[in-house]
Amino acid sequence: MTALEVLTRAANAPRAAAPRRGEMLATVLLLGGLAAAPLVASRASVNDLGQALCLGLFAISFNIIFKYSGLLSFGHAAFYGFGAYAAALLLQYDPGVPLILLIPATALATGFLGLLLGHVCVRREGAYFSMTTLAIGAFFATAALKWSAVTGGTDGLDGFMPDTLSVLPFWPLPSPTISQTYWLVLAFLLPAALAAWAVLELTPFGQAVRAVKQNETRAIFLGHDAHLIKLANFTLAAALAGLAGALWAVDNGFVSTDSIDLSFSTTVIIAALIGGSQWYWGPLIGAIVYIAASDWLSALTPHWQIWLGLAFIAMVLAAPGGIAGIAAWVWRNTVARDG
Amino acid sequence: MNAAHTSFYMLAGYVATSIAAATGSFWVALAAAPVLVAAVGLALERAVLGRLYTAGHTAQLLLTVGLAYVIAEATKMLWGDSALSVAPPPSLAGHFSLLGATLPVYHLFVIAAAVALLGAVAAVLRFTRLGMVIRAAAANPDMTAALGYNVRHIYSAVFVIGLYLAAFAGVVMAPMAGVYPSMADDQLVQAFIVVVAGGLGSLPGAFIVAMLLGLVQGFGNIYAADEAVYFPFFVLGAVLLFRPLGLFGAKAA
Repeated sequence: MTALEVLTRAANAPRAAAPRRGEMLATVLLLGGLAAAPLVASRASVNDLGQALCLGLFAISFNIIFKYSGLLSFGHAAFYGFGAYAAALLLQYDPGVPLILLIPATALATGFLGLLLGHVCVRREGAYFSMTTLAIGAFFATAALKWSAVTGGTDGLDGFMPDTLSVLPFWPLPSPTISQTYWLVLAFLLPAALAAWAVLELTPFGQAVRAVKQNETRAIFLGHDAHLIKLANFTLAAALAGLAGALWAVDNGFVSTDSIDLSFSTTVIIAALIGGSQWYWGPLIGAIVYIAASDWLSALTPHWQIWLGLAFIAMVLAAPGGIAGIAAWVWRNTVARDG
Repeated sequence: MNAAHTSFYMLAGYVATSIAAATGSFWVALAAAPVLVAAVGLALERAVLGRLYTAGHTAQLLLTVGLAYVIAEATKMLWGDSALSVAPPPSLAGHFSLLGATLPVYHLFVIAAAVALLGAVAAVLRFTRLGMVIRAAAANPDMTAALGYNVRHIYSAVFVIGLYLAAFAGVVMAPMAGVYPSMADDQLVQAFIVVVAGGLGSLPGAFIVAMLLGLVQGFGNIYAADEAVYFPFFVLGAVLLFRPLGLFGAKAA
């Protein structure tokens, strides 16, 4: 084989980022299962699952910064809470605003906030990034608590959901059932999550983000503006978090400081990592497991968080890939071994 | 890097409350509680944390997040959800007046204790052989290990000293601020702001920013009580805008 043949063969080789068979199968199963869930599940579980969807998209957005830029945010709830409060306030101001405008507008506004704040955060890495994001998270949590003229303080915002929800202009949805709301949330959530996945996995921008994470110096020498790329990724994650928050406000009908305080920023870290940070959809699984486990454990003992903390410590030490990592390991050692 | 650092601060406050209640003496609590808490920390470091020194900041932060959960819940299980208070020792219970204001004598003791400990730590780091080895291990662990020092033990020692200081602060602050479940989170934010604005790894930077925050919040509470809670964030924002590395931050390697 000549050197030229080797070179051309390499150029035709499959893309490194092409999703593998098992991941594709798991994605289709997961998303299909979520779409079909209200057909089989009880009302209470659909309600829980709706909460898990919003937490799941939030966890995915956290993981976009963690997985693709290698930065651990301690204040990501600032963006989720901002989205939730913004959506609630907009609905309070004009109950007739159609969701097709409201949700993207909230996501855009949160993205813009992410652009402003990210500029300070992504300048440094590691613990420095974590501490700066924690301070930002604390700032927003304090504001939500103290600026009660706008946020309702400890009472939160209530009663902003109109009786007749306007989805599209001229498509009113009078008193939606739990399943209808769930599908509505899913209808906004899935396209957004899939679009972000496509941007990060299939476009040159996604390649650049991963290049900066792998070796920032080399990426800079290749002509990439590392700061700008990290900032763009941070902005994308903030916009998705804002979208998740806005959907949660619509799904929940009530917004409180729980959606923005510091412990919620920790919750999302735990949910994302339990699901598995190395798979794009892993955090969504983590969110479902988190909601289910917290329901189950909190019924057993008021001190369920100690078990959560212990499980999380065990996971960081023994299975850093989370549930998705364990599943991938099982897949590699059973199905994929023959094929 | 430790996200559970202030959990030990809180733990020390609770332990001190119990010791003070049992023995009736604040001084016994002040002597014993930080040592107990540092011992718990050393055990945890030996058992789990130490495995992650090579795994980088992220794994350490994640593990300590889990640890913070466990400590917070364990504290609630042992001492309950409500805030507790400790009486300052009788010898420091009086008041004095300064420029027309009446202040508890205990505040003087807190200031003196903080300055004394800070001075001691700075002196050890700067002037002793131990301090030199600690600084060497932070700057270049491989070279320090090659010179025959057990870097793993140095890290343990630094970790325990840090915990002892946090625990000491927790005990000293208990008579002033009380002991309550969310004190760990409150202090974590303050501590991170101080460290980031002061510059990572800079003792004088942390000291100056801490003083600055204290002044800003003190005056803020008097002149703009409603807005004072935001002031620390404005200080941090202002510092980071003009000095992205913090006041005394060196260029990171």
